[in-house]
Amino acid sequence: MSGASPVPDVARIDALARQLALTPHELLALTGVLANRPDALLDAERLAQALACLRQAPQAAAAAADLLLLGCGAYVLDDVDRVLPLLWSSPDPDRG
Amino acid sequence: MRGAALIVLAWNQWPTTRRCLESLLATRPFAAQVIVVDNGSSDATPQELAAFADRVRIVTLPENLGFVRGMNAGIAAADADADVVLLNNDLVFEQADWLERLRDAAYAAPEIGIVGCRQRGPQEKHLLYHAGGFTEPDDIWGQQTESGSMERDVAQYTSARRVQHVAFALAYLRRDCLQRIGTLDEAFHSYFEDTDYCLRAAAFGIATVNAGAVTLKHEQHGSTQDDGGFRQRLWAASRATFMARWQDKLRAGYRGEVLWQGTTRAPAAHAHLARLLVRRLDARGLRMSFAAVAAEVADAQDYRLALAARRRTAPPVDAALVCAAGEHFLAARGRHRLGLTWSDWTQAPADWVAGANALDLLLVPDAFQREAFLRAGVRTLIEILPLGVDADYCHPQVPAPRDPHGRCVFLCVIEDAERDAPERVLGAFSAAFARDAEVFLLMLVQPGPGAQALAERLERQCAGDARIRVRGNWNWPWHQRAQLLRSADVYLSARRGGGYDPCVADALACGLQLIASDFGSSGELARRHGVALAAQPCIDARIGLEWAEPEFEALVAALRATHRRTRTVDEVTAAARTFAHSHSIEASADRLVQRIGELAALAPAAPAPTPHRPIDLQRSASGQVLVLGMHRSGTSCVAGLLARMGVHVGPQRDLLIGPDNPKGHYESGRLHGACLRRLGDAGGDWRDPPVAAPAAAVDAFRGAVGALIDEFDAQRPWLFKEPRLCLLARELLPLLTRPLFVHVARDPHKVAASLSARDRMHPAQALALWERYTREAFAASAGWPRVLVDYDALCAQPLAIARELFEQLRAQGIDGLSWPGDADVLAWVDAPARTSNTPLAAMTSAQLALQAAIAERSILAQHAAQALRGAA
Repeated sequence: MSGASPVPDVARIDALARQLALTPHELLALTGVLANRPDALLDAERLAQALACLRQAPQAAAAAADLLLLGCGAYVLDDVDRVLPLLWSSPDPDRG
Repeated sequence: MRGAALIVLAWNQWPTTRRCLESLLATRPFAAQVIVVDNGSSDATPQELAAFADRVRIVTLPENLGFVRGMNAGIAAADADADVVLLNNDLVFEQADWLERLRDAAYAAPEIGIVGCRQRGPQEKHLLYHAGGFTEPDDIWGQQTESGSMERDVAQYTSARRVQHVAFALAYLRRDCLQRIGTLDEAFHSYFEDTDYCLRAAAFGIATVNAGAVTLKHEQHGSTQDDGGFRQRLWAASRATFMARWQDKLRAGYRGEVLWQGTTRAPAAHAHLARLLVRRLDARGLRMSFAAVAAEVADAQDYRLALAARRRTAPPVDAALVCAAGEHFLAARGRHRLGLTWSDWTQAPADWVAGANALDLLLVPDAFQREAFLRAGVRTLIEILPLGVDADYCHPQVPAPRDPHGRCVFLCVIEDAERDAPERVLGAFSAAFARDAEVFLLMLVQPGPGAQALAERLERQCAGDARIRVRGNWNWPWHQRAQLLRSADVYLSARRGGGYDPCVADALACGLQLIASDFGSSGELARRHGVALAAQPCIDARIGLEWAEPEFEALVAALRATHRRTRTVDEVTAAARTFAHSHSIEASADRLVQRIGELAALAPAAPAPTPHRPIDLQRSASGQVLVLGMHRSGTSCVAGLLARMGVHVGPQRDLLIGPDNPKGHYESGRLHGACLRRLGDAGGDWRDPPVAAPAAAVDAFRGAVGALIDEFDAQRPWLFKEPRLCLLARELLPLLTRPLFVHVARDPHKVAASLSARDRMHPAQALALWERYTREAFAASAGWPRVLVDYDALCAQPLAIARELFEQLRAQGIDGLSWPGDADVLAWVDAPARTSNTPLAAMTSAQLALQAAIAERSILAQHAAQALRGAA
């Protein structure tokens, strides 16, 4: 791998969500729904189905988005005596 | 001298056994005989073991009888009075004083019978395999630590504590426990016999303790690895046996069903309490279940919390406790409903009020929170539940990865950008210190929605400042939280919000300095134990409620002040220990269980069995007599009287004679010297007895007195008399065989008058010293055979009191006594020079109660803790 994937910024996510008449959290949940079948073609019909599912269960969508928004850092435990020495020595341990 | 039999059970795997024996013998265990039980080994063990025959006793069994019968064979081979220590052959002894520390724990109280230790794995960064465990009736699957996880060894559970069971890979069994309970139950082949034994002992009031001062390396299953499923079959068979015997009994121990409704992840403080309290409530007889109040992928770092989440209970449960923001109170699903929460503002949010009023009881951590809910109009019962710290995890000895540059490290944990004011902290830090100052600010953003973005924003704010690190997207193992704190010098909680921040108390228990806002739940702790930041009321624009902004200049000043402050290690340790003692999560759990029980009218807890006492075994005294009494209390007179009855006092040339007691002290000079050294090694003397008991001082004392016991044992009955033994007798219990304690008491005013005259001691100090010696003496002998001699009565009625003492000794089974004759008694017990009992100083109420308990002899019925705290 020669570098990290570009991460869309907040403004772009907002714009895409608005275009689909979704909140950014719902958009996040939508990506989860769509990712559920990576082999299927993503076309307008499938997008509409996924959007319909999402709108029928707004609480579940919000809960799913909340879980995702915690970020992977919430679920992966990293030992204190591994991380702290990195912090003492490097301005940015993720890049250092 | 009585000692211990160290029983190593071996079955094949000779290299493992050799490593165990070599490391064990290298520790030169004092007063111990090593017994190796060869459980029918077919490898090189029998031949190789022969080379150890001069150092260990070998018991050879014809075939592998399993762990239980093999250990029982070792116990049968041990000296009939010896304590025994069961040892797996896959242990490695890296701690020289392991046996002595086990002895300390075993004899800390009369009811203790079984002692285990911390066991850690062989990894480079050791995993803690065992620290005292428990078994839940749901799955009958022995858990080896309170969290049920194999945590990294971060010095957790390093104090002695009572547990449900210990793993018999190492178990110190006191002889009186063995005599009460018997040997291991041979219904088990291997596995579960240890839990069974501890539970059987508990039914007889015998306590099991894990000695945190001992850590051994355990290369588990050294004797059963690569066995083609043999071990698994043994385990399953023993589990079935155990289940049939104990599962229903364990279930019957529950008093009721309680549903904890909360979170295991965020907010962090609520999740922290779920981890701290669910396990403790369950261990205290409440069958806990758990339901999340919001969507979450449950955190699985605590076994009992995860088990609670798996449990299915028929609603409604006896009680539901919602530990979450007040908006969740209406979701409480129990016959009785409790809430446990706090708010960040001077007044709780209005949309919490209806839910709070639907509760039967609202618990809050402090008076600030109580006011906030009252101010909001909550009318339900509100009580304060102080939330303590887990001192088993949070203490100053937790090893920490410290800053290699030695800078003063400030730690700040952020969860909510508005509440926690991180930008203000960064600004104040930059303003407080020059660029080249030896300081470092570590700011951690807790995982959560927006955490990464917040961390990046803060990083930008302090870009280029090498003294500051901001880290987001990091979730550290909960059991390592004290490591994180101990890596810093100062915990900084300069929040606007006044809610409960568990890191504040944890930091104080770890010995950190504290800077916190003088507002909300942290305010009082900051005022009493740290630096309280002046804060000005302001409005949280998001909700329109008032909280407080720490003053910028105050924060700058606090940062500088804590940076300048220096404390010795002893000061840090003492302050942290005192804080943890008075802010214990165990007390919080006790109170919570009590209130739930009262509110839900739960069945009372089954009465605990009467604590075991060695005296209840009605064994004859062996003829080892310890005369205990404060200086100037007549102990020399009583010792001389006993000598005339035929009790050996040691060689004449060794006995002390001094100007203050020309008739003789009847006190061995070598014993006297050992006592002097013991107190001196701990930094004290008889006038100023030390509180601490340094391990080296205890071990040297045991070694010296142990040699004397060996010598004196050639001529039983014998006595040791030395007033300092009041403070030290407990340390000798592992070496004594069925001892008898003779307490000598005298009017404390006469003791004080005598000390004032002889030593120019202030009477109040003399009375305090009398109290200390007397309490410790009766605490040491609690549960053991003992008699009490009133020296004033002896002087008034020598023949009657001496005869009573003589008969008491004979009734205890001491052989070899003879009545010296009335004339001899009268000639010996001549009244001392008249000492005034006119009070030279007023006695405290506790001293008066102690005096009364002695006069009424009710002190003889007290247990050790009562004697120490003087509950008369």
